[in-house]
Amino acid sequence: MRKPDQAECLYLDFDGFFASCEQLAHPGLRGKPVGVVPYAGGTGTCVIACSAEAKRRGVSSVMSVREALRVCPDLILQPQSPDLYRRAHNALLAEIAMVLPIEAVKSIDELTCRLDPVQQQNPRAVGEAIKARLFKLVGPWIKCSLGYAGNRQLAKMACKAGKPDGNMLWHPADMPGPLLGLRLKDVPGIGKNVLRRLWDARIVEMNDLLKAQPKQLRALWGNVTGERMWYALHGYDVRVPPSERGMYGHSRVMAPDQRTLSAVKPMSRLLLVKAARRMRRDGWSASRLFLWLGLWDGSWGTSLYLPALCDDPGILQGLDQLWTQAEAELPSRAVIARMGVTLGELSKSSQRQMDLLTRDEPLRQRLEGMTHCIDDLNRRYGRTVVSIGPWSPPPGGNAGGKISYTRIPSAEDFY
Amino acid sequence: MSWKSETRLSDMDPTARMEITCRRCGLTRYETQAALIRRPALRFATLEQVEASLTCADRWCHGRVRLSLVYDDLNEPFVGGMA
Repeated sequence: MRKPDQAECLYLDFDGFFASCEQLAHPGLRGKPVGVVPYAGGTGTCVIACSAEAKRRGVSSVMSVREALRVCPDLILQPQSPDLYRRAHNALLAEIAMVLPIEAVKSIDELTCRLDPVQQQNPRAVGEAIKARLFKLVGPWIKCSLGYAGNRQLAKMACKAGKPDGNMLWHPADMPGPLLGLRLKDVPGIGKNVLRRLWDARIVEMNDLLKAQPKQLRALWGNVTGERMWYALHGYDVRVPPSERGMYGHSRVMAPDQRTLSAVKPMSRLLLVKAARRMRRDGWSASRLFLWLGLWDGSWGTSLYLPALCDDPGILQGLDQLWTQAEAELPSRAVIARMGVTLGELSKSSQRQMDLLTRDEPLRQRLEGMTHCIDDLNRRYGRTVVSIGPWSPPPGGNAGGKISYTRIPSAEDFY
Repeated sequence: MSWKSETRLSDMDPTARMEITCRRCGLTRYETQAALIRRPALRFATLEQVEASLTCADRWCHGRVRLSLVYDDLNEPFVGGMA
């Protein structure tokens, strides 16, 4: 494995991205403490992002709305706008790509680039150029932090260490100096469980972690990630192979007045159709359908075999079967706080093995043709104009279009 | 000066996807560079000129559109929490 002797990687992270986008789009919010919340009017929810002004007043992300209003009474609660964040993401990436090519987009507000040998001589100048461009063409409301190091993991940590509005260089020659002041939980990839295992192995400080052996970390993690972490922290250019697509799904926390079986069922139907659309768009078929219901006291879940389907009627028929089972097994007054539907055991639609015993090839071809026509119509009109059965989006919208760490929605997810 | 005025359609990859959103009705559609470059008027156009020449696909709207690039192919999730 190669150990770079120059800062080859750049990592960029936008500061308070969601709140900054809201301030950019709504001039009335600029310079004020803003907290982005999942939906309007809810006090039982939490702040999913906050502006720099709110952070200065003690508000933090994932703080409950009640607590946030207690520490900052004049906090402005702004409902999330996933489509705005998605459009801002695309526009900002286009501007950054004018300064240097983007190597990978890690999340809606994080990306990484590789510096060429000339840029490696003065990495901070690249960051200054990006910041100057964003300031000139987008405005002062969207700020970013940049980190440079020999690999992506260290560049991300440098970026985090320099926040907010940072431009932090961790040159390979200076390592591991900057790491020694950090806590273990500050390392991306060390969560609660791993931290407990590290403590059990008497690894409590960064110095202990750096002195450990690669195979020891592999054993503590229980997989190859531990070994990769060792090499990354020691400055090696670790490349994590991209993970394979395993499933398509959606989940949703139900609104307090919609936690009955009869209210959750249509929502699961809508989310499953959205997941199936995404799956078809990427050319996959599913051989298993999962339904999961988060009850007030526990959970209920089951799955069903599908003969490598990608058409809506076949998938929805499977969902009906799962709901028949759920209605038979759950009490009629069950309180369902959360629900999820997932299409799994994927195979490429062009290479799938058809079920020999069901012998439904002509029917499947007809239904798939019809589903593709429906997709084309919806895509052409930019909204759901045709659907199999009723189509009733939930109050508040954004079903299937939320921003997650692993997925940036496309415009089609909001149809 | 922005990325739209600094980028020519002909400089882009033929498979590059562009998202075209109507500023009036919000209708979104996708076009590839290969499809747009076939139009003689756009062969040497900047993306700003491409944006100005396109209109909404809705037959009753034909409003002005907003063009953006799609970076879906660069998405790379965190694996094991590592960057």
